[in-house]
Amino acid sequence: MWWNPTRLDFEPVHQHGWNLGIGFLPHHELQAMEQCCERLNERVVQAKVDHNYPETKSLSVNLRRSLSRLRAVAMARKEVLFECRQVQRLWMELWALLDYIEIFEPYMEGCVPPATETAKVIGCFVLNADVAERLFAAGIPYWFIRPISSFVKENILSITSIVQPQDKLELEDYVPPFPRIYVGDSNYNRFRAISEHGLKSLRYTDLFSDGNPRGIKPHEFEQAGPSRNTRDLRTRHQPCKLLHSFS
Amino acid sequence: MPPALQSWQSALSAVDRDPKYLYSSTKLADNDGKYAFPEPGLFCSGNNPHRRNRFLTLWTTIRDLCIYRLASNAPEVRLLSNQDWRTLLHGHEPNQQTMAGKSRHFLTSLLSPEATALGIDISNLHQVSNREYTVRETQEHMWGISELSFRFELLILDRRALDRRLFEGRHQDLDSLVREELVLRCFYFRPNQPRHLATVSVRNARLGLASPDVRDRLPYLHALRRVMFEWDDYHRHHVARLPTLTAEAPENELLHYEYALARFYTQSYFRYFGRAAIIPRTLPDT
Repeated sequence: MWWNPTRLDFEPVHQHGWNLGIGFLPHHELQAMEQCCERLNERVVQAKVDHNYPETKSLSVNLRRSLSRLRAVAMARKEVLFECRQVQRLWMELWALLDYIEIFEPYMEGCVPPATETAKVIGCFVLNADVAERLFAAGIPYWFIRPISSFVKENILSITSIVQPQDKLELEDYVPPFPRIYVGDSNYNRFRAISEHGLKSLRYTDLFSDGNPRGIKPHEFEQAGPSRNTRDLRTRHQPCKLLHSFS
Repeated sequence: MPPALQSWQSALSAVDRDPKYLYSSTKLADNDGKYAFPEPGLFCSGNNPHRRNRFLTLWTTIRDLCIYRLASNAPEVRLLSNQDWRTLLHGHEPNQQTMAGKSRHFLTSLLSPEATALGIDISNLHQVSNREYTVRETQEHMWGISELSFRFELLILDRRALDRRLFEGRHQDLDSLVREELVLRCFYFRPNQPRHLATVSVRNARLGLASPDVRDRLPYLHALRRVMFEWDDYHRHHVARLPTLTAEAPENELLHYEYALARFYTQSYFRYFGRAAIIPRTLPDT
C-alpha cells in the first residue's frame, strides 16, 4: 500500500491508437492495493466493532468506493494520482482506527496493565497532562507541550534540534496546483477538511441542478426556466420507436 | 440493436406523453431533454453501415472520456442533444468558417471542460480512421451504451424524483453516496469487478435485470423498487400496493410485477425529463 505515486504511475488509455490524456494506475499497483484493502476489510469484519464504532463501517465503505472508482474510471493523470493518495489515506485511517480499538484503547482505559514497549506509531503533540498519561499507558510517543514559564527545576537530559519540514518533506505544489482546501492550525478541523475534500470526487455532479450546490429541489426551479416546447412533444424524436424498428 | 426485455419495451411504448404529465411546463435545467451518452438509435437510423462504423469508431474512442466527465464532481457538465451527438460522432475536421464546423469545435470543448489543463485533448478526433464492426461487435457496443445510459439515467432520476418529505429525521439517508449504494444494488457485478456504475461488461449482458429468466431478474427488480420507494408519487401509484413476490410465484405474476415497475420508471422519467427513458437491454446468446 505504501509507495509514493509519481507521474510515472499512470497508464494512458489508447483507443484506435489515440491517447486522449486519460488512463489508470498500472494494473499491478491496482492489484496490490486491492489485496491490501481486502485484507483490511476482512479485519474490520472479524473485529465486529461496527456497532460501537460506526466510523469503521463508513471508512470501510468509502475505501471500497474510492478503490472501485480508481479501478473503473479512466481519469486525468492528476486525478489518478490524487485518488491513489485518497485510497492510501482512507486505508491508513481505517487501519489506525482498528489499532486504536483493538490495541491502544484497552491500555488507555486501564483495562489491561500499561504497555511495556513503545508503539511503532508516529505519536502526537499534547497540551493536556491527563491525555499525556493515557498515551504513556498505551506506549504511544508524544510531545507534551508546556509554556516555558512552567519549567522550574526539571532535569533536562538533552535538547534536540527542530527538524525543518522543507528538509524532509515535498512541499512544492503539483503543477498545475491542487485547490487550497484549508487554512489554519493543524487540528481536527484540518483533518475534517481533508476528509471531506477527498470524498467530493465520489459524488457525481448533479447534472440537473444548474450549479445549485444543495442539489436538486425541483420546486425551486418551477417556472424558472424557458418553456418546454410542448407543441413539439409529440413530434419529438422518439427513441422507443426508433429502437423498435431496428431491433 | 440488441433486444429490449419485453416488459420494459411494453412499458416504454405505454408512456403517456401528454404534456399534462410533465412535472413542470418549463425546463428545469439546461440539461433537460439532453443525453449523457449518445442515444443508441442514432447508430442504427437509416441503415447506413458506413455511418454506423464511423459513429462506433468515434464512440469507442471517446467512451472513457464521456464516462469520466460524468463519474466525477466536475463543477459543470453539459449534456448533448441528439443533434449535437450526431455532429460530434461524424467527427469531421473542425472548421471555424462553417456553422457545422463551429458547432463541432464548440462540442469538442464542451465534452472536455477544463480539459487542456488536465492534459486531455480531443481536437483531433477527425483524424481517427474508421474501422469495420461485425454485427456482434455492433450489438455489444449498443448494449454497452444502453446499459451505461440506463444506469446514469436511473441515478439522476433518483436525485430529481426523491420525495424529501419522506426523510424527516433521517436526512443522512438523502446523502448522494447512500442513494448511490441503493442504485448499485440494481445491477449485477462479478465478485472481482469494481462496484461502480461505469463497470459495464458484456460478460454481464445476460445477468441482473437483463437475465433471460425473470426469476433471476427478481432480486434486481426488488432493488429497483427499493430505489423508487422514496420517489414522489410512488405511494399514490398502484405499484406501491403490489405484493413483494418470491421466485416461487407464477411466471405471469412475476412478469406483471416487472412490467408495473418498468411502467412506473419510464413514466417517471418522462415526467421529470420530458423525453423517453433509455431502457435496459440484453444480448442474444452466442
